[in-house]
Amino acid sequence: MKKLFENKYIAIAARIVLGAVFMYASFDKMANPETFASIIDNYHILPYQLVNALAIFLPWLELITGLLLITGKWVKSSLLLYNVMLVVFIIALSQALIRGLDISCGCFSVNPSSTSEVWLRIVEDIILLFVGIMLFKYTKDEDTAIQNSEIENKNLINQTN
Amino acid sequence: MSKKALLQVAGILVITILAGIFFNLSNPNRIQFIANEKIVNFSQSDSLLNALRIQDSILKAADSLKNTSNRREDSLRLSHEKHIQDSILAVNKTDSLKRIQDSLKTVNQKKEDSIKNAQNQVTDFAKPIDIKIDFAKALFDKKYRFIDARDISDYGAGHVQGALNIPFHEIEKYKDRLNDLPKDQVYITYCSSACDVSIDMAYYMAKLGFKKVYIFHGGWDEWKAAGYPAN
Repeated sequence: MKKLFENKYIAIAARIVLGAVFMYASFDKMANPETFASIIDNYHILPYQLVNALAIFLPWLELITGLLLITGKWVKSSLLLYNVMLVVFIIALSQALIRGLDISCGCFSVNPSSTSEVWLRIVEDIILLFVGIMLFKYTKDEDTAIQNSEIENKNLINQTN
Repeated sequence: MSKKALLQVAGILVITILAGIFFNLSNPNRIQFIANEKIVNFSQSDSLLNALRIQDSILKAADSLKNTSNRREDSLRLSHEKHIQDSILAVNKTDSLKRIQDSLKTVNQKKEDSIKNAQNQVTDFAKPIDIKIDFAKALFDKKYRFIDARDISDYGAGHVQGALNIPFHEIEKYKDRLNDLPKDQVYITYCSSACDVSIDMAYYMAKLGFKKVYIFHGGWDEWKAAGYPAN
């Protein structure tokens, strides 16, 4: 697994997939904040004062982290936020499933007729979380990467001398 | 996790908040940053039940009045015929008959108007009204239509007797069922109990032009627990 996620091309492909999923998920929510707020409210886990704020900011957090993952900037920090969001989504969906709440997921679309198979969304999120954790674990900090490349350069210069 | 990465996390959050604020302010579909508390204002079931009882009694009174007036008209007609045969009293009797018939018609008209007014008081509204089980049962007894907004499997497991299943999660698929319903009738939406699809369905119906939609908040769970008619 380590070898797989340390492979530069596989890591890039995984980042693009994760980023694209979150970016795609954010568009419909941004366009229809009222409907998305109503969906969040239906989960019955947040006090009403926070529902609208979350409906406004969450799609932007998804969009920005998705964008950062695709562009390869601030990867480690965006992966951290990405994974935290996925954990929250999994908890929210699972509690809805356990409590038998009759809700629309609101995962990719705010349309009430979008699929209501909550367990399927949980499985999808778990897969994304697994990939996210693996990437987070095997992605080097930008500082560490720079330090490593500097050390390698010094070694090469020493060897050449 | 380096300090720099944590600062980047904070940076992302700040950018998110700023972007969210600016986008929401410029969005034509903008919403309030802090939502208003959702308060379920249950209708005054007692007064609505009383109104229904009054409506029933008025209808009964109107029926009996019609029967009485019909009987009186018949008897008057008979007496009128008799009096026609009697040439001396005929003219006077005909005048009195006309006066009685006119007064009966006026009384009937007034009664019909009062019935219509009573019906309007009970049912005329555009915004869905939240109701409790006692009023839901009263509406059920009056044969008004219940709409089950839950999924097909939940409906199949048990539902209010005679309820029509229109799963709100698949509303696009079942929209035709709604379109087939007359919009001036009374409808009661419900789901399980810890759910909101009955509310969503009621407001969706109101937007489609249904004018008399009630939301039964107790839902199927409360109905079943009360032992009311079910399939």
